[in-house]
Amino acid sequence: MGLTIGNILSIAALLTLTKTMGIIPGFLLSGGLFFVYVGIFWGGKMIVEPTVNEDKEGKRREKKSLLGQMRSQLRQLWKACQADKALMIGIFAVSASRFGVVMIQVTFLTWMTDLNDENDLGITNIPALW
Amino acid sequence: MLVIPLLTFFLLFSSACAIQQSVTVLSEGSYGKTPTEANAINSKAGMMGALVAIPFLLVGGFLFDLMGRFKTVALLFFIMGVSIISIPLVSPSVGAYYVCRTVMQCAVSPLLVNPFVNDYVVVK
Repeated sequence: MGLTIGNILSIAALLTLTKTMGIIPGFLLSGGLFFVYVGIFWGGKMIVEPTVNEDKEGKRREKKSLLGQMRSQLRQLWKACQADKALMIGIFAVSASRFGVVMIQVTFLTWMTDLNDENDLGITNIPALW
Repeated sequence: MLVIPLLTFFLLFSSACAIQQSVTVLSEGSYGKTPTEANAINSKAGMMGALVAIPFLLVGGFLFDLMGRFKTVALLFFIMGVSIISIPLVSPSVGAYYVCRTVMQCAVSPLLVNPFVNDYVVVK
């Protein structure tokens, strides 16, 4: 719902507004809005941190360096995967499908570039593919 | 519950517009490219961004776990904002344009697969 409404309103309202503002003010508006969003999330206390760790575990974790925390998480993931093989299969399957989707996007964009260069189609509005 | 649609709304509301603006700035702005060159640069930027965003998806998961949710969202939104504002400022360097677009795309991908929905899954 958020994706659809955001996309439609972005093109219908924000793009129209930024076009009338000129290039640099237009980019300042669309980029600056992200700072406003952070303020909204912070002011509204909308993002709640999960309490999955016990107090002791949390304090121990805070003492570790970033690298140490990453190693600890990888070790926990490895242990969980050893205990439940379905988890490991799931992780690989999800990663493979995500990689596949992105590769399709990349191939499509490359094809669009070549097609446009060869035929001079003049397409100025290649869609935003994430 | 509101945070899930609101986050994606905010993300798309500004970034979809920024993508369209970044196409226009190549041909109409100080980059001074023809429409054909602008198309080629834009699609190459999308391609490079998508490739770099693949490993960044995994990094995004780590960031949410290590830094916490608010800090990660704030950091990625901050990076998005700075990279969007930089696009017209780094002209006419096409290399810098590629960097801005790639950074922007990398910041979006972890936010689109955010862990907020997990809060609503009850474990019995």
